[in-house]
Amino acid sequence: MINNDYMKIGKNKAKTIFKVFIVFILIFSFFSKSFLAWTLPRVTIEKVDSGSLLKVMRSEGQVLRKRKYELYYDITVRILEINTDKYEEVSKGEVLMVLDTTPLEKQIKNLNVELNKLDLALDRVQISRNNTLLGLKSESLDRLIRELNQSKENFDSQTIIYESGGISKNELLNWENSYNVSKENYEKQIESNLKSNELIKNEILGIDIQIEEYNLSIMTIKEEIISLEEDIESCIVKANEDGIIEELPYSKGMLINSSTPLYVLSSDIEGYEAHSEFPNETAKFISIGDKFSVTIKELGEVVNGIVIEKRKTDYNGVVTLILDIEHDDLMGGEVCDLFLRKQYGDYDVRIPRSAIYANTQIENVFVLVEHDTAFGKSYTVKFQEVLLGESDDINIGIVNGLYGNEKIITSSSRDLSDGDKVILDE
Amino acid sequence: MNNKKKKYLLAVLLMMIAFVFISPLILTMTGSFMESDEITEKYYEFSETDNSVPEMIGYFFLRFVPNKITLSNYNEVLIETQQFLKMFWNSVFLVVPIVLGQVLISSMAAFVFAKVEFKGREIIFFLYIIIMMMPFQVTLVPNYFTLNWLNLLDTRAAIILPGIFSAFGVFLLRQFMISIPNDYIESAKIDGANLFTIFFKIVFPITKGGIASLAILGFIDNWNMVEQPLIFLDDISKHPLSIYLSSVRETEIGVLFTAGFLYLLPLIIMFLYGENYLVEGVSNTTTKG
Repeated sequence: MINNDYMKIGKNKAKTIFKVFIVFILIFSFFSKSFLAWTLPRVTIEKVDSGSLLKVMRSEGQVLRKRKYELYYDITVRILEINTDKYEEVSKGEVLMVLDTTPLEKQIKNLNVELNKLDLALDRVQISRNNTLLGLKSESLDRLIRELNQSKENFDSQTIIYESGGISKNELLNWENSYNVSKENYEKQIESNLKSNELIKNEILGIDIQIEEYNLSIMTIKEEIISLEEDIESCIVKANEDGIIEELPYSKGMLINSSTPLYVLSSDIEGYEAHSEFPNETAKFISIGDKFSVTIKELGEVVNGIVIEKRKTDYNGVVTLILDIEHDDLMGGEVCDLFLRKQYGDYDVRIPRSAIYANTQIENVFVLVEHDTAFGKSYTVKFQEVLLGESDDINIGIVNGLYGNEKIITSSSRDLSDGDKVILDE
Repeated sequence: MNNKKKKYLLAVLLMMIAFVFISPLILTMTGSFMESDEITEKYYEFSETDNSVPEMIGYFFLRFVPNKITLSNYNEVLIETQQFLKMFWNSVFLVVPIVLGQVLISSMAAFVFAKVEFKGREIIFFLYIIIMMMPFQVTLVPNYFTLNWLNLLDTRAAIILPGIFSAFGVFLLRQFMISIPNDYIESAKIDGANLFTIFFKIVFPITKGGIASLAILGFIDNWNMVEQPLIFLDDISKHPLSIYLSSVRETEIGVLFTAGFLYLLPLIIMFLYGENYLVEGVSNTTTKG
């Protein structure tokens, strides 16, 4: 009886444990994913790949008549008269404005004074050169040569006389000594002359260089004067072609500068072009010859636009892009949208921009680390410093730090730290 | 030394032996609440040497009591790596149909062998015993070909169907049923009962203990099966828990202890529930025949 009671109690306990166990297992079977979502950060991953970056460039622009003259002057003078107005039709050779020539004339005057000074200085240097040339010691050497020749002749004639018994041996030796002295003097003089002549030659060389410099300066000033004279001539500004004045940035009395054209004149002789401004940062990816899709808003049509010019304007950090476009219905003045998708910068490792973790000063990414466990895969993240290259709107090139076979975290439900366990967001 | 002292000594000796036997279970249970580092703290004194051959450089130390109790292993097994629960249910969905099938088929077959007279009964039963003697590995290849022919490979049926037909179950229940007096059956026949009625209304309830012990033994046997799923199931997602416990690495020893303990729990519960039936069943098998 007691044994049966124990059995019953044991069975009941076993039943209770069994029930608890089953409930426990069922709860975890159904809700483990929910528990996991509460406890671990959910991350999305992307595999590191290689390839080019893609720059998408778009901007609004305007269609203009293609043939366009922009007259730039690199002088700074005041405008005395303006004889035209914006959008006015002008003819070739028509005087559009008159510039003040006074500063240029003053410059020419100053340059002429300078030129005269240089001419005088040049004359002085040339006289100095002639004098230096005279200093070459050739006269004393001539005298010594003559003396030497005379001594030699005397010695030779006395030798003949001695041989015929006309003079004694001692007398011949005196003549010989006299010849030797003359010879020695001649050689010494030659040596001395060589040294002094070398110095004089160097001096002359220096003077020649100076003369050359003066000549160059004179030539430059003369060219400047000619240029200024041409500038003075061009101060009567005329229209280069028949056409319409599209831009007239200056007004009477203003000083002109080299970065703004005096006028912009357009003609419809050779078709149309689109003008659009891009920031410097974007424009550096654009090359001459790139083909944009240009949507002409008024016409509702898309045409190709080939970049023919990149005009940099220093003052506001933008670049004006000029594209060659063709369409029969263009009139000029239409608004257009420019669009270009361009590949650049080939990288072995390329990751999405969203993978760059920005919470620290160091640029880094979180790399997914897979762990094969007995019950499947588990995941942690590894903090990885990287050296970034160029980037486009979506991707960024990695110069160093990744091998190219990693999976990287592109987003996370919470802030991550090195070694954190994570779950993958399906 | 008097009898009382002898009894105490014997009790102490038996307790020590019992502890040796139960210590792996205790170690598994307590280890499941320890960090892997704490479990393996002294393991390396056994094998970490410069030589490739492991050498004993200190005493191997088993820690039974955790320094710091942690549930991180349970978190990893039950929450983070959800594969454990999938495999647990794989095991359940394989073992429960096998046990139910075994109980039904074996009890009916045992009834026939024990209580129904027909020609060749003893020979067929002898063949059954022979099959029971054969290890699983012997019938592995014919089983494989048969399942392939039936196009059942890589399905749960490949494990369940062969598992249902247990020669041991027939033998066990036959021993139980032989002890049922024939008068009960004769009386039922006189009352107009057919064989099915006799079996389900009279014999089945009487042999409840034997059926319970068969269920427990069948559950333990099939819960631990390794070879059948390895050979008949290519799809890893269908594998039971018993296979994956062997693949846990040294670095995940905490997980191994936890998974092992959770794996053992159903077996322990089954044993606690049917301990007496099991003893009864085994004693019946050995004393009657």
